[in-house]
Amino acid sequence: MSSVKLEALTKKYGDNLAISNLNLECQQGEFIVLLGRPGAGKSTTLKLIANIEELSSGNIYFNDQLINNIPTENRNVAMAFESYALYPHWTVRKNLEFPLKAPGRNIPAAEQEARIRRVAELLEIAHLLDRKPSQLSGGQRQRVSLGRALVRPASVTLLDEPIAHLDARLRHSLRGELKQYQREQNATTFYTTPDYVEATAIADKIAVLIDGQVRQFATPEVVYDEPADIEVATIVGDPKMNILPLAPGATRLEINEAWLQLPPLPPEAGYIGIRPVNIQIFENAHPYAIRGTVYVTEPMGYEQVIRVEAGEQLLNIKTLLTTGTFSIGQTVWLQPDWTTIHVFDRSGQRLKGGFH
Amino acid sequence: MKHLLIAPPLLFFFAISVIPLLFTLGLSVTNTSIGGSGSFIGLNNYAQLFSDQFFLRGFLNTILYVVLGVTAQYWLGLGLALLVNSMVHGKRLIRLLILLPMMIPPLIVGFVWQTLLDSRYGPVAGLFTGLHLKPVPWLTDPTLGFVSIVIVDTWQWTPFMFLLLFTGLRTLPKEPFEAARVDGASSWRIFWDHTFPMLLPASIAAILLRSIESFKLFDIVFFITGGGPGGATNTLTLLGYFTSLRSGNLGYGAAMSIILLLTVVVLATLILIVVRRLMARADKAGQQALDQFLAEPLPVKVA
Amino acid sequence: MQSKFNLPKITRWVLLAVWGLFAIFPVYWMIITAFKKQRDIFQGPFLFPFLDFTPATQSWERVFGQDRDDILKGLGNSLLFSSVSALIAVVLGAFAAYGLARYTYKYGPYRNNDLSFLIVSQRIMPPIVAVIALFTMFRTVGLIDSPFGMILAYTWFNLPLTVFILTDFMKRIPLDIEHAAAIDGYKKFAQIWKVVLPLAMPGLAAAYLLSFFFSWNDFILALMLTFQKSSTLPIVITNMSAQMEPRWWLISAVGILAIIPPMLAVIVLDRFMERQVLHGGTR
Repeated sequence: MSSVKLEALTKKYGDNLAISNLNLECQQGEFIVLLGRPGAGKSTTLKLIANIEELSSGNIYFNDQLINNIPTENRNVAMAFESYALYPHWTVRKNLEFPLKAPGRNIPAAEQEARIRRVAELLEIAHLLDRKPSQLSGGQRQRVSLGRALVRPASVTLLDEPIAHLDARLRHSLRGELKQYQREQNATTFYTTPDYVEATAIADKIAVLIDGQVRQFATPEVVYDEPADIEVATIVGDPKMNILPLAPGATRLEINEAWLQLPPLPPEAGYIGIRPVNIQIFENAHPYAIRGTVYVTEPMGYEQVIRVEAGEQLLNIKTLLTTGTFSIGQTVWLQPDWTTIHVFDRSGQRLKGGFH
Repeated sequence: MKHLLIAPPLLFFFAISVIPLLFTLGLSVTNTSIGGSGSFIGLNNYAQLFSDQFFLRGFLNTILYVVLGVTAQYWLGLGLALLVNSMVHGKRLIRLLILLPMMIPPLIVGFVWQTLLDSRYGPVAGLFTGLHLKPVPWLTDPTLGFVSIVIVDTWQWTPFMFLLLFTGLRTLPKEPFEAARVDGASSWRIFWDHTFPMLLPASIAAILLRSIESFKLFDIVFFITGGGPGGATNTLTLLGYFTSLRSGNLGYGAAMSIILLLTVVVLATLILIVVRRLMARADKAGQQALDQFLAEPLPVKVA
Repeated sequence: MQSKFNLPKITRWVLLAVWGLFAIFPVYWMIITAFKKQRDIFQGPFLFPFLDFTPATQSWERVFGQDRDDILKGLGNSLLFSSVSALIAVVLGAFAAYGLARYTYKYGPYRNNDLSFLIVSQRIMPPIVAVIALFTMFRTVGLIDSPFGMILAYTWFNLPLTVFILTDFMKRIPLDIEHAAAIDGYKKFAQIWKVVLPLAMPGLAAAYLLSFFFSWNDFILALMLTFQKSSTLPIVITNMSAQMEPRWWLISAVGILAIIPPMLAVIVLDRFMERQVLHGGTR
């Protein structure tokens, strides 16, 4: 239940820079998601906060207090490890009890029991309390590991891809309940995931990590609507945003002998981005549309993702299943919604302002 | 903190290995005797060693014990490991029975075999008489005495080889064997083409461990023949003991020990070089088997 | 299961039985000898109690009568030296193994691997090389024939082995599990005590057992470093045999006693070694 400030964190492994000059600040009780691809430095950041990994340089503050020199066991952080790291020689109950019984915590027995009950029910592991980790499935182990992090009050809760290996149903229901639970506990939480949908569903704020740096730190809506640069834009959103390079000073987009008039753009514009949901697809020739060939289709529930080859581009389009049935090789017409485009400069940085 | 953790074994290393080694080295260039002082005599002890029939015989014996004993133990242990590995039921009990000799103190082993091989009232002599054969002077004939020691050493330590090779067999991958069987290869071919090469790293490590221990052979000989008759079954350790502490000739005994140490180091190094060579050639499966084996080289998971 | 050696079943059993007979017969011989009278031994070889000879309790009367004090002394010393030195070797070995597995050392040119090699290489050295010097050193500082001296010697003898076995066990314990204990609020010592050691249990048990075996079976160190008060069981047995004609019946009886402690140790510690304690902790 602390506010957290990470100031210029740097972590080197030999000559490799895992985290470089990472800055982040969050309020007490906030639910922060670190979103990034594998290797972006998400786990390392959590481990630096917990002091499992030693900082190469930088400062960490809890409640504005510098805690660089406080050892792990005194930082009062809770953590669910990506590797689970359960105590294999103990039952699930003892695993959950262990953090409650740590020296100096002085939690009354009745409260310990209540807390264990509560997380066990939340995570649907109440029937497994007397089993040992070796008798559990992978998903069950992950829930126990999550339970061990949630069972006790902590200054900061660190969850390293804590629901990655659960089945889809649990993953869905847990997202909501996890957030609700942490809000109730008023627990400051850092949560890592490579999955933008999960991040959006659960985060108060998302920190997008690329190459050991925070590229953008904002609410899920802002990250989605105003991605800071092309890389963030392609991480946030599924399927990923279509990025089209622009010729210098271009006023229109030419593809397959057709052209589309662009809205007025600033001269430094280098790329435009259009999200897959913002392109309409037609089976028949359509005015103000470009022609393309269906490359592959992928139904996803009530929606479908269609990849269309248009000129040199391979464009992602996401639309309702009811829009029509498309088959590979079919000719289709595409019409972007110019009111929703994102504009980036030559170096990939977002250009602010509306362009329609 | 971390220095404290490793301090005790290093301290032991210097106090009870390095210092005594230097001490022994120092002794070996003097004519010190027990209870008396000695003076520096250079390499005289070493020079004398090479014309000392007892020493030369002991040196030869030690090497022969290692070569013959370890060879016999290896093949018997391998055979037993293959046999037990192919069993479906009763593995655990058989394993325990096979391991039994290893658990008996060598001293007791020595006494028991001394009575077993006694030419007057031992059961082996009884068996020979029963078969109308002339009883054999197992312990009093120089050659037979030597053979007896090899037999007893083999009796006690084949279980050790069995254990290591059995563990090695359990870690081999299944697929090559199934493939070979599908191809219709005979058991014999499968053994030579697959089992044996894949087991090679484990085999060599087992042979290395056993050889190192074998060089220290002492108690069995001490109890069965006492090195006799006429030094025919002596080992270097035994000679070192008798020379230093029974005859009190510390300097000369020290020189013997140093030669023993040099021999062990040279041969162990040679075996290690061979191991490295073979490991470089061994395929990945063999490599993994070796890693697994080296991870758990000793009889830990059986009984 | 992997490489079935397809001999006919009967052949396999016959071969195993032949080895079994070879392996077990000397043990059987020892047991029956312990129930023979001197006369039965020297008129022998008698193989079957009640048929060939009448079992006698002569040896056991000696063991629990006239020779009781000597045997008890030897048994007591052996038990004390073996169990205590094995314990010390395992504890010190576990600490060193933990250090070698978890930290980076650099003493001059010596790194972790070199240090392990130095420690383990002592095992290659034949005890005779050190024991002459040890004898002189122990005599100088008054450790000859003392319990402390023997425990020290056995600890030295076994420490390389325990370091060797345990380093690997320690390496196999995932670092994350230790970190988890730190996260859960426990200091280094508690982490080692509550998490690392229980997870290294199979290794600790195996290391203890082997150390116990080696000390229990040792002859040369005891022979050189003790002569009376601190004599171990092997030395006591040797002294019994040295007196004029060897009393095989008595030595066999003591031999049976000498096998019991290591067997018990196997039975007790076997349970710990079989356990796959690490299974299930991590993904």
